[in-house]
Amino acid sequence: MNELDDLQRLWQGQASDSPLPDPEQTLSGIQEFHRKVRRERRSMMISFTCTFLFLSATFWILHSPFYVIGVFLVFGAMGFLLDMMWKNKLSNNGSRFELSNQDFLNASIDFIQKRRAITTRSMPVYAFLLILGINVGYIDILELMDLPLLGRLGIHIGLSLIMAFLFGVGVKKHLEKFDDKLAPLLANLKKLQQEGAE
Amino acid sequence: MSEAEKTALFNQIYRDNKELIFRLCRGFLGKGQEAEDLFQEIFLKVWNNLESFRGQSKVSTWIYRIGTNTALLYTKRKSRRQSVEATLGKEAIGRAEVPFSEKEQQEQRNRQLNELLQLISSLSEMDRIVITMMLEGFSYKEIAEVSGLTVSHVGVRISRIKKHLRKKIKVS
Repeated sequence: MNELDDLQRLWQGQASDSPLPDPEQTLSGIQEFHRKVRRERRSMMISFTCTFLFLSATFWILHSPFYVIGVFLVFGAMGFLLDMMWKNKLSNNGSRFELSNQDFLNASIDFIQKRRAITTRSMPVYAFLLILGINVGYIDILELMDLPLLGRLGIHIGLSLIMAFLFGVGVKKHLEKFDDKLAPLLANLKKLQQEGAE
Repeated sequence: MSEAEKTALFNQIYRDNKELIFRLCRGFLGKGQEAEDLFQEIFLKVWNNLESFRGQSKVSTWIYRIGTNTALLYTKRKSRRQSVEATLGKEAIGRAEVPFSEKEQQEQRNRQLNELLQLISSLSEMDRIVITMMLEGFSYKEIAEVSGLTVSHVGVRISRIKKHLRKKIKVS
């Protein structure tokens, strides 16, 4: 089994233990996967539109400029997040799989590092816009409750701190999960990159 | 490209290359479910990239680039080495006696194939790509095109792999 020809014959002559699926079978699996992705995207768009319609309808009920500003800030935050997700998706397009192995490794390492940086940088901005929007949104509601200024300030500060804390915990958990899942992969890709250079 | 054209092209590429990709998956993951999952994942990527294929390179080189890149990023990579060893480790490796029947010849071929898969699993991932391509009969230029190494670097790697394999075969 020392000769290359023998090895090639042996390698190319190997048969699968069970017959390989026919193209139609494989294609139906692929199309099912695409349908699932489309369903997820559609449900996300529906929930975004419903929230927008619901909040727009309440404009006419409350007639509060603070409420309108608050809603715009919340939508600004959601739009910002969707933009980040979209950019992330664009940079993860499948075309990098057509590159040579070395270029693919470079592109994958770059992609994973950028994704983490985006999460770290964008989440505080998103949280700030959302908390600010919610706070501005209920200025009028607290005024209607006839609370003293100090009480209202206390509620704003207290709720903001709770929301900031919850966001902080959420982002920390998200990054921990990200690191648990992707740090070993990143290390492995860097190792492969080095192996290729040797 | 219409959906029907895309499906027809996919079917053609699948029929022509499924054995090639099947062997690539085995080279990376040995025999078992993981290799089958990788096989599916590679063809999902092929479908996703089908419209960008412009025919500048041979289909086999293009599909091998997608296949090897998918294998490199395969999420179950941690258990890869164990799975290859678990699949092959318990099987006796050695020289068979002179075969008496077709069944015995087949058994001998299986033993030799397991031995080869085990040897491949002992290599680094980049070397696995190079050796599987070499076993498929790709030229140095094509191996360089897929791996991103220079042609001379491919040559150096192949002689290093051959040396490593000879040493391992002698030991076993």
